[in-house]
Amino acid sequence: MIVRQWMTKTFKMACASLLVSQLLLLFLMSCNPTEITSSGQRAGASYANGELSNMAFIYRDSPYILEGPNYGPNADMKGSVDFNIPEFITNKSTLKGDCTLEFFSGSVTIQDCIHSFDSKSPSQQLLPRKADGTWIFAPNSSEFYQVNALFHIQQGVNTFFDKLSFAYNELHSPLSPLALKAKSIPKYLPNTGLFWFQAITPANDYYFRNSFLSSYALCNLEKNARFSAAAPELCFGKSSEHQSFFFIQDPSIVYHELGHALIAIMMNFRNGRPQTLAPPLFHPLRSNLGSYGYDEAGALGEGVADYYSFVMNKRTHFGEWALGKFNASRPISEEDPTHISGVETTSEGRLSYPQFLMYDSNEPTVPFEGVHQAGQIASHYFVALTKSLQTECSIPSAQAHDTSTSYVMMLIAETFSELGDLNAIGVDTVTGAIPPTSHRQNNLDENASFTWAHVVNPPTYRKFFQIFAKNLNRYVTGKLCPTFSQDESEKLLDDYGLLLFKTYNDNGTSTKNKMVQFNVNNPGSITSGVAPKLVLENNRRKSVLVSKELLSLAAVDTEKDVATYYIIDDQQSMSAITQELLFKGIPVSITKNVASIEYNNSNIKVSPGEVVAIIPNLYNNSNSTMAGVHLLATDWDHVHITDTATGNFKPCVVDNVTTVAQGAEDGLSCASTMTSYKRHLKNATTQLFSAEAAAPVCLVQVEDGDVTRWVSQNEFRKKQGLALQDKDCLGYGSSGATEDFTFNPHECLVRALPGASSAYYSKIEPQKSYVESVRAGNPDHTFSPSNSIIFEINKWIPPGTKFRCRLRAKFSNCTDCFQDSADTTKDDYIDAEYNGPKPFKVINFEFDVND
Amino acid sequence: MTKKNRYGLLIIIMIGIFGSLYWFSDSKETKLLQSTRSHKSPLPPTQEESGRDMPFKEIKKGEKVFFVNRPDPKWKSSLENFLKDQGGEMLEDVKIEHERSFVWTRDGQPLRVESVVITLTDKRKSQSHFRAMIDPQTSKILETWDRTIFDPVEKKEGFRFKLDPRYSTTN
Repeated sequence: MIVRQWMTKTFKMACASLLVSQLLLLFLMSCNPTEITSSGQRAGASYANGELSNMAFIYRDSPYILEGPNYGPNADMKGSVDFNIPEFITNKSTLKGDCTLEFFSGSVTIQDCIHSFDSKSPSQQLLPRKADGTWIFAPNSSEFYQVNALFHIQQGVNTFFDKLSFAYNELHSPLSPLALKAKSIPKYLPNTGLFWFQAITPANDYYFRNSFLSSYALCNLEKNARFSAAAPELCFGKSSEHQSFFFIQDPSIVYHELGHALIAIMMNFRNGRPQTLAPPLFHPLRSNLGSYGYDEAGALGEGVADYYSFVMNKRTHFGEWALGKFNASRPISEEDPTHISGVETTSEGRLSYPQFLMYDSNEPTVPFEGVHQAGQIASHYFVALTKSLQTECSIPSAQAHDTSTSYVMMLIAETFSELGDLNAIGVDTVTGAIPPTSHRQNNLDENASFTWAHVVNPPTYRKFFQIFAKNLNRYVTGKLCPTFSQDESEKLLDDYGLLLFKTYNDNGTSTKNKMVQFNVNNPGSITSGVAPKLVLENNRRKSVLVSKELLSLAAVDTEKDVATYYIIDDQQSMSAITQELLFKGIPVSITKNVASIEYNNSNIKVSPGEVVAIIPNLYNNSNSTMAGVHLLATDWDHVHITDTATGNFKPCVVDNVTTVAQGAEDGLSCASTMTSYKRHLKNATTQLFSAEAAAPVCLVQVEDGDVTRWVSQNEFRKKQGLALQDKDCLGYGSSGATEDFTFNPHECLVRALPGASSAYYSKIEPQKSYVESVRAGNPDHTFSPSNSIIFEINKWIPPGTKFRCRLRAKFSNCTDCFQDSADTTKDDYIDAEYNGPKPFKVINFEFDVND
Repeated sequence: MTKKNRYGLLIIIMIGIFGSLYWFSDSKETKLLQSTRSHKSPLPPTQEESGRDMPFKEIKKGEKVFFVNRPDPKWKSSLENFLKDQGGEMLEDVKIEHERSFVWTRDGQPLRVESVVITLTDKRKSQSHFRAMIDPQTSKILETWDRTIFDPVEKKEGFRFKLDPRYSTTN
C-alpha cells in the first residue's frame, strides 16, 4: 500500500496549524479598525494630543435644525458650528479627498477624487492648508464653506462606498449566500474604476474629463443647486435677496446633489469592460436618468436623491433650510408632519402612484407636474421599505438604520446597474462571469442600447420597480431576510400603487427572440419556454392597470375648451423653447434655409417653414387614471419598403386608420420582424436603401387620379411637381462635395426634431384629456416644453398638403402595453418588439400645412 | 516525529504564517487607480467578447480607418455658430472641448464622429454642460448625454408657456 505524504500525521498537523494560524489572522484582521472611526476621525490625526492637524470645526447640520425653524434666512454660521469636536478634513496640502472602496479581496483607492472650490473661475485654485496645519477658518468665510463642503461630501461618499462594499461583497464574495445568484453589479468593477468618475489614459482627458468630482460651495447660481455629469461637478447656489444665505449651509442639499452624482455612477457600473492585458474598454456614451422637464426617469432620480438625504441624516424631511426658507422643502415619509391630513403610514394613506404624482405638500391645492413632486412617491416608498426591513429582519436597533439602508441601496444599485447597461447584457452569470455577447437581456443590443435606454424604452416607474422588486425577491427575500416575503414586498409596493407589472421578468429572455432564455446558472447555455415569476394577483389592490385601447386623441369640445392638439407657433415662445432646450442639453438642429422660427406666423396652424411645438391632447376613455404617458415620434418599423433604389414604401396596416384602400399594405410582408434598430437611410457603399428599416413617423397624402394614398415623403417630393432636391429637404446637412450620410429623405417635408421627438404626460384623469387633467380648471396653467413634440416644416410644401404622423404611446400603468394578451406566461415583450407597434397605442396625428 | 518531519512541519507553518501575512497585507494594500493600470482583470473576456464587433472604434493617432463621411476642418466653429444661433441673446458663452474621435457604425454606416463636452454660460453667468457626438462633415449633433440636473427652489423654473387663448373658442 502506498502512503501519500499528505496522509501522514505530520502533514495533517501542518495543515491544521496552517488553518489555525490563518483563522487567527483572519480574526485579528477583522478586529482591526478601518481607516475611519465612528466620529469620522481618521487615524493619523492626533486630536487626543490636542493637535488639530488636518482638522476643522464644522457645522453638522443646517441652521434650521441647529438654531430652530424660525432662524434665518440670513445666517451667522458661528452659532451652528460644533466647537467641541473637531473633524478630520484631509491630510492633503490642498482641499481634496480620496475615494476608497473596500472589496472582500482588497481595496482600491482613487486619490484626490473630490476637489472643493469656492466658486467657478478661470483662475480657480484649491484652498491650501493653513500654516498651522489645520483647516480651521473663520465661520462664514469662503474658506469655511469650502472646508464644510468637502467634509459633508466626503461623509456622503464614504457612506456610499460602505454601502457599495456591502453590496459587492454580498454579491461576489465566495462565502456569501448571494454568490450563487445572477447579479448586475459587475465583479470586474474594481478593475474598471467605474465606482467613481474615472478618467482613464492619458490622465483626465476623456470619458470623464476629470477623475475627480469638483464642488463649488459658493456657486453663481440663484436659488438653485446642480449636478453636472459632464464636468463632473456639484454647484451650490445662493440667494441674492439674503446675502448670508447659501445652499451649502444645508448638508441635506449636499447629500441630495451627491445622490444625483451617485446615480450617474451606478447607471454606468457596466459601461466599461476589462480586457486581457489592456486597459478597460469603455463605452463612449453613458447612461443618464431622465431627460429634460418632466419624465418618470427624472422623477426616479429625484426620489433616490431625496432618499440619500434620509440615508445620511435619518430625517424624514429634506432641504428644511435651503428649500424650506422658500416654502419648497419636501417630506420623505408619510410620518412627516408637513403632509396634508389623510397621508399616513397605513395602506390607504401611503403616497401612492398615480394619485400623488402632482402633489406638493407646500401647495397641496395646486397640482404641479414636476420631477421633484412625482419623485416623492419613490422616496416615500424607499423609506417605508427601509423601516419595514428594520422590523421584519430582526436587525438589532443599533445597526437598524445602517443595515436596512445598505439593503435598500444595494437594490437601488443593482437596479440602476441593469437599467443603464449600454452593452445590453444587464445581468451577469451566477459566477460573476460576463455572459457571451449574444446573451443580450436588456436595451436591445450594443448598437441601439443608448436609444433604447433613453428614448424608446427609458426607465419608468413600472420598469424601475419591476427590476427593483426582482432584486428584492432575489436578494432580500431570497437570502438576506427571508421573513420579508414576496407577499409583503408586493403588498408594500401596492400600497404605493407601484405593483405595475404582472411578472418579475426574471427568466432571462433574449432581447431578440422571445423563445430564447439565457441560463444564468449555466453560463453560455440557452433554454426555452422558461416562464417568469408571477406577481401574486391578490396583492394588486391600489395598482390599477388600464388598457391602452382606451387612450386616443381628444375630440374637440368647445364647451370644455378641449382641442385635439395645441400648436405653439409664435416666434417668441418657440425661440424661448429652443433656447431653454439648448441650455438643458438638448440642441435641436433646425434645417438652415429650409425651416426657421422666422417663418412662424402665430396663427396656431402648421404653416410652411415653421418650427412648431405641438401638444397632442391625449384622452383617457377609461374610469381609472392613466399615468406615465410617453408619446413617441421617433422612427419605427411601420412600413414595407417596396423599392430599395428610392427607399419608397407602403405604410403597413397597424390599425383601422390607414387602410389598404388608402395605399397601405397588410399581411406577412408587413409583419414587424426587425430585431435590431436601423433608420431608413441610403447605404453609402451600395447606394441602396435597406429592405427593412425604421421609418419616420409622418406620411404624406398623394392624389393619384381618383385615389388618395399615404406615401413616403421621398415619393411625394418627387411626384407632385415639386422635384425637391436633397438640399431643399429637411435634415440635409451637406454643403461640401460628399453627401450627408445621416440624411433621411423620407422626412424631407415634415420631421420631428431629434432630441425633441417625444412628449411626457404625468397623468390623464379618467374621462378627461391630458390638458384638462393638468390644468385642473386653472386657465393660467403653464406647460413645459417636455409636454410637446417639436416639428419643423419644409418651406417648400405646397399649401393644403396633408400629413398623418403615426405616433406611438404607452404608459406605466398599462395592462396591455407590456405583454401579449395571448401569452399565458405573461412574459414581457422583448426589446425588439419596441421596433414595432405591439407595446404601443398608435396615435394618428393629422394636420394640413397651410399658409 | 523524526527530525526531518519536524523541520518539514516548521517550514509549512512558517509558509502558512508568512503566506497569510502576505495575503492580508496585499488585501489591505491601497492600490492606486491612476492613469495607467497594472493589475490584471480577474475576469478575462470570453472569446465572443474579444471578437465583438463594437459599434464604436476609437481613432488613434496614425491609425488608418475607414469611414464614409468627409470631416470638415471647420466643424468646431460651425458647431459653435449653430449653438450660438440657437442660444440667442441669453447665451453669453459657448465652450466646446474635444474629447475623442471615433468611427461609429450608425444605421449601418461607418461614420467618423467627434465626442465633445459643451459648456454654456448664460447672461446670468449660470452654466450647464453636456456631452455630444458630432458628425464633423455636417457639424450635426447626433446624440447628447451627461446633461446638467438642476434642483431649483422655484418649481416653475425655466421657460413654460400658456396655451394660446384662441383655443378656448377655436379648433
